[in-house]
Amino acid sequence: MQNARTTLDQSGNELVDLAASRLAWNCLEQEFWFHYTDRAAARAIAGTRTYRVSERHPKAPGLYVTPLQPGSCSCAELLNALFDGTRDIERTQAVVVLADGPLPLTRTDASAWCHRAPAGTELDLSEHLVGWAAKEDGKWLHSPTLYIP
Amino acid sequence: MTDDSRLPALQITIEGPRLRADREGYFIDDEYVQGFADRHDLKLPDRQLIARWCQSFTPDVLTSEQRRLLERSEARLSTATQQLRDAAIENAERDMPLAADVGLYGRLAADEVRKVREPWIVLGEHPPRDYPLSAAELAELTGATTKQIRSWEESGLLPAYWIAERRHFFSAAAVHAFALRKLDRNEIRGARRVLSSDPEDPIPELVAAAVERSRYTATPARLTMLIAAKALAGPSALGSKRPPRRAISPGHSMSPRPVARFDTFCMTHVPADWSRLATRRSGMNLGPHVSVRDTPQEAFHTWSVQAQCPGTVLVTARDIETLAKRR
Repeated sequence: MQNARTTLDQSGNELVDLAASRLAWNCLEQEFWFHYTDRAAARAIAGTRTYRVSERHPKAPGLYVTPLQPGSCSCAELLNALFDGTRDIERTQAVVVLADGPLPLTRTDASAWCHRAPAGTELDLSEHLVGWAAKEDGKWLHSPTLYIP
Repeated sequence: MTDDSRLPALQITIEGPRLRADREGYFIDDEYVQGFADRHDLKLPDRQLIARWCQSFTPDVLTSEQRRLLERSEARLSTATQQLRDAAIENAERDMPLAADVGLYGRLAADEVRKVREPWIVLGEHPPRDYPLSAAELAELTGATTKQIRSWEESGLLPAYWIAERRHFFSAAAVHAFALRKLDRNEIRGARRVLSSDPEDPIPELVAAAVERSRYTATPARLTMLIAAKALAGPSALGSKRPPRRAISPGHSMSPRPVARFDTFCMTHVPADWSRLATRRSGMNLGPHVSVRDTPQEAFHTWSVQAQCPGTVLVTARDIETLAKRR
């Protein structure tokens, strides 16, 4: 495996910086969905392979995802597209990557889809979650699972 | 209150096999494995996980032993792990957006933003120290003392999550701590004071004290922002065991003056961001007594918090300014 730059989180798990051409969404035909969040939440979701639906969207709770790939648009564009223009830029600093599958999604906005579930529901993502990524020094690093060896 | 300052914060570890993006195999111990064949060298939960993937993605090669594995009950996440995950999600989806919406995040200097985002640049990079942090680590990150961190958390000024009998701080707490460090002692005492008011009817007290203090401080927005952030956020629901709020003692120097007797208030000097926030949260029920509604008024970026009590009086921003001039 090409090892241009690696970083270890405190759990000893690597996020790696490799050629974008080897990223799954640039190599495979299948569709990938991205749940943008901050680094700690992305790692927690990846570590447990579960997501607990929060009460952040009381009228339409669920797991919100987008097909917008990391690095495909600026933080400001992401905030406007996904988070109703909030200035919480930290929520664009990491992403959980889900492979397309039987998780039913409903389109809620031009770039946003949602798997609806009641607040408090624990979603099992073990058959969908294929990796996570986080931004460091302005550069996206990815979990090794996202690269096609 | 337990002195947990030196106890390390719990962490979620990413262990075992991880599904590859092509879903034709998994990744474990720096190795790409093709297929989902059973492996006796792995722990039972990991073998069950691989069997599940095999059943879903390559059902034709699912062995009878893997079928037996699937029939056994799967190991569940520990309570602490669940709470850590929930706290991380709540921090990302509630605490940090709130800190940004009320302007706390926007007040951070560039180096503070970097520290919030990459705490390991202060706390150590080998391996990188990331959230959640203990009280001692948050103190080291923000330049506060451990005693201050504990005191602020116990007063409800810092969002924290109590998990396994110790405090766990995430990025929103770092934002709040940086903001609190810029307040003087009186401002912090004021914030602490209003946050320890009667839990049955906290909002009028919070707003009254904020308005009151904004009259004679040079930086009115800071305190009002902190207080409103807390008022909107409410108590941390997950893994949180905050100390009970104390009742207001009569005659305290920070007791609200007459304006506190109104049940309904508007705040002046509120940034435009708050108006947008109020609009987005229009009609959101914050508790048994309080709801937020957007009340656009010309010439003011005004945000109204109206108590749902009979006979209350709506005091507008203009009213408060008039009151202030009469004094």
